[in-house]
Amino acid sequence: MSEYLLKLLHRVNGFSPLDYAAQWMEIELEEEKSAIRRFGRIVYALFLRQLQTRLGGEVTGFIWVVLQPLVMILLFTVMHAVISGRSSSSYDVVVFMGSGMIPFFLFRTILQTSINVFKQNRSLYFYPQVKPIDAFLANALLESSIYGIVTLILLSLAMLVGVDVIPKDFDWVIVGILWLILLAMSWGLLLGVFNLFYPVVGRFVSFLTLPLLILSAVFFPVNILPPLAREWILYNPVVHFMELIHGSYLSSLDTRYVDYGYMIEWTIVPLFLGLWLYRRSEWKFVAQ
Amino acid sequence: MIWLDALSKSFGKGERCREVFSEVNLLIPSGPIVGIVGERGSGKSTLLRLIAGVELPDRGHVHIEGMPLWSGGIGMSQHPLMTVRQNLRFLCRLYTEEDMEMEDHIEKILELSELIPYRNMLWKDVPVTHKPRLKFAVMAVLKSDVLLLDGLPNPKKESEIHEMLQQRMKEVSTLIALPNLKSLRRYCDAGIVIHKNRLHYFDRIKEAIKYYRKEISE
Repeated sequence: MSEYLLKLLHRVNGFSPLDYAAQWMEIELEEEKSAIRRFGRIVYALFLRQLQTRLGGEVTGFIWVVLQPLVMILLFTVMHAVISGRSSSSYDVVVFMGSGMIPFFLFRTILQTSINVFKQNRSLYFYPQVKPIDAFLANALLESSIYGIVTLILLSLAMLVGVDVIPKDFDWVIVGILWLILLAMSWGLLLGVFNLFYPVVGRFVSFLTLPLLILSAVFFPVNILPPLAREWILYNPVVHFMELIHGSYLSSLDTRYVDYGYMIEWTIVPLFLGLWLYRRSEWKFVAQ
Repeated sequence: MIWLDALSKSFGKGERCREVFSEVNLLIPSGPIVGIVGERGSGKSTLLRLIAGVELPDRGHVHIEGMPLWSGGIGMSQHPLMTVRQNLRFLCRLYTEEDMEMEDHIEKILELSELIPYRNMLWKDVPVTHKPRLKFAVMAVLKSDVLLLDGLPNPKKESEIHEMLQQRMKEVSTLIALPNLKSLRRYCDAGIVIHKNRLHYFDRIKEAIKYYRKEISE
């Protein structure tokens, strides 16, 4: 019966309901596509804006970004040599320092800039196209790109000098770094939203990131620690990321202390909490 | 269309608390150019800020149809450490879908605001006298659905912007905060009179003026 009705409709209109449905879906899809395109355009616009204003808009700013990790890597390598002698390690200390410090600095930078990004871009939210989260994403994208370029420069430098920088397990190094970026973003989002309403949060975090460098196993592997210290330091989620990256990069190290479930918890919980708080309070951002 | 739904707003706390709007309900239709008049400090700019969303109401909601562009924010959103052109590129990218169109808009805005000689200068280095023109040029060129204007350009000194803006105002919905009745009569189709924490909407300018003269002052 219904089939007959459909045929009748088709004959009357020269157009079947299925055609209507298909056309409607096409329109929906087009709208979705253009919405994504518009979103991309806004994030791109914010990315360029932040690129033009970060680093003071000068070349010296970028040189500093490259020099800072380089100086730190060399400093810690020398310290390591002084403290434990030349031949005590089975791995290349420079590579160890570099593979830990660059991801760690990226983590710290994304975290610190994310906390302030909502406030910094406040003068733009009255443009209805610009959502605070766009500025947040553009910022994370920019910092990651800057550190990507820094990594390439430092890797080329190391190769020129003759250091063997080829990682043992390239895929897992990339997974580790991308996951660390995600960790920084989820904490950055959560703390950034908090910081907008309670500015003390930002000060507290920048105070906290200082000991984090020491307590995150950036410049030593956890297997050199006594068991009790190791047990305690493994409560710090960043340690697991560092162990994952170090263990995948250097052939004489492994990832036996990495607890993936623990890493997932520390990423997912703040991410969803941050998104939930953001959604609840987004409309208040512009007047904050 | 702009719908103010039981809107209340006050500034300050306790003894010093000053109420600007209390339980305001109003439907502003799209189409006519609507002027807002009222005594000094009666809340003309506050009303625009509430509609633009930069000020939050104590109670109530603002519903707005289409994409608004608020003149008060344009100068504020120019980054001092970016050049005029970089700033404009950011702004025009938000309101266009193609880069060709964006460059077109930038050229038009630079020309209208007479900022061409300063286009590669940092925004903080542009002479203060040249800055106010930018917002009107931006309002006249960019494609938005609702214009929220705090004042109008000077029709004698900035005649070209003034003309372009007039043209634009006819095509979209417009809300203007005005300092006096003279400009209300000259530029608007409808009027809102702010009086004693309330808004009074009039379809016809004559009635708005009559009400203003009767209730507020000559």
